[in-house]
Amino acid sequence: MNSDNAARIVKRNNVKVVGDGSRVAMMAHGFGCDQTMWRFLMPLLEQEFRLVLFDYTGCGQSDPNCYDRDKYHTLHGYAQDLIDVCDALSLESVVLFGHSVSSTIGIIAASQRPEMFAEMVLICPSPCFLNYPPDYHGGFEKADLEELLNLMDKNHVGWANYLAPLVIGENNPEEMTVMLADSFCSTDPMFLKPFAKATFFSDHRADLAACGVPCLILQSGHDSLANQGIGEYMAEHLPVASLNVIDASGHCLHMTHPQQVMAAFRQFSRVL
Amino acid sequence: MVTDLHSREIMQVNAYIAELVGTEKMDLTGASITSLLSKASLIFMESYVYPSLLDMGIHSELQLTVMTQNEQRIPIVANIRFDGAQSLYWSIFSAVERDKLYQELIEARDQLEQQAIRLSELASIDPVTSFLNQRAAQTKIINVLAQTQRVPAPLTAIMFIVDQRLDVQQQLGQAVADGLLNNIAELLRPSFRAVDIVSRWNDSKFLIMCYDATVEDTQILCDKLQALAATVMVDGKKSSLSMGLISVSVTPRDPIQLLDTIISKADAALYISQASGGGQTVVFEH
Repeated sequence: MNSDNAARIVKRNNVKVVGDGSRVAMMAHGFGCDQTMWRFLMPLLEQEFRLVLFDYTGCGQSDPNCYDRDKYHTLHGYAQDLIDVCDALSLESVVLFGHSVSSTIGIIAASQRPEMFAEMVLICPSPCFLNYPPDYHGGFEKADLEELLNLMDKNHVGWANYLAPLVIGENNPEEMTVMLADSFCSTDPMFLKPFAKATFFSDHRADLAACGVPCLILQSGHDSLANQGIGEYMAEHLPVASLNVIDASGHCLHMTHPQQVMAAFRQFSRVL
Repeated sequence: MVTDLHSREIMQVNAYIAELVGTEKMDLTGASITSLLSKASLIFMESYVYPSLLDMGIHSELQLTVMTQNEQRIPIVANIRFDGAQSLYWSIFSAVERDKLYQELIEARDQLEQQAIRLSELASIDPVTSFLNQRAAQTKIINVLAQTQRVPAPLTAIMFIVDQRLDVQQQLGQAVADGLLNNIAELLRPSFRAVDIVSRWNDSKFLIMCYDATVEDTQILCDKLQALAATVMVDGKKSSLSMGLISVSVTPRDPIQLLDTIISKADAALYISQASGGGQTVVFEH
């Protein structure tokens, strides 16, 4: 990638590099979050790793003018962001920490560019949130997820931000820039809702088998979004995987139990 | 209401909330907050609200849905504060009317969005052939050229005209000429791949950009298009296409300049085809 393109990607995805360790860890945030959510885990990693933090396009402080509705309507668009950031920084053999949907995004990216990743730490992952009885219980029915989108609409009454692009049109980037620069993009429904659809309505179970990168699956003992059966399913279908269930509640182990996440990662790395 | 952040257990609850969900305070105390919320609310809490509470410590005017003992859904609004240790303090009130208003707003917005999509389609599609118009094709081609500069792939372009169109227009009028183009476009459409950019470039010319296709691949496509067009009869004679086919060499230039070069080369090839009597494909080699 030439330097102009690399600079464009760094700006687009608000890429930050911290720490001065010899290895590189890439931190990929989950749905509804941004890179700031890694701040609980970062102090435990930055001695040993150079940490690459970024926001997916449409999240956090990414450049909203780079958002492409077609590209980001599936997780492949977000996987391309991951690959682009690695290419922009000429990274290979990174350790990917992916929270929730970023685990699936990482698996997609690894199937396209296996040399980019040495290990992947999948925190509270789920390749599919929908139930497909009798073999797979993602935890939710389609009606639950439809209701989720409706609930998101009601909680992000960013009407002005949502309606203005429809009225302004797509050919007035300057007006868009001013308007969107004033908003915190991770709560902008224009970007968040397609991400929710791509996250919760997709089925990436078939991608698991194509991931040759060793994966540590970190599951929470009590997680309403990803039940234990999902962790077991992933461990069974990923070619190289180890499942570790942490005795905790919730879906954000990297925020609530960073020490345990780190201990499990060290143990996994030692075995590798 | 007070809940434990880590165990999700309801530690304290008041009579208002118990009444709202049709139960007793004692039945809720010690239960999991997950049993009180709809599944959609649960996903929203776990994926969005809990992380932001851990980060910011407070979340205001959250709209959620609680489930009553009779499996009814009651919209609520909640303010939640995190004490920094393990407790979450909830202030909850019923929001049935507010929910109705928001629902109406969402429906109005969805209608507006659909209208905007429709308008955008109308602005990018040629009404006679339903192919892209020049403006929309130009944007897509420039994107493909920029992408191909980054990740090389063979590209070809075809410029063609329907040989009989001008005569039909002069003798039988615009509506019949449009009907001819529409018929031919419908016949040709299934032959294109999703990655091909197919456009009505101007009144008389069509431009097709074929991604990841060699001249040999595209020559086969041109033969197929010629054969399909020949099935449409005009005044007792077969229709035909004059086609110019070029291989696009993607140099590291501004894609807009590159597009200008593509157009002039494809035009030149098309001109030779027309000058030779039409109904054939001329390949522009360099």
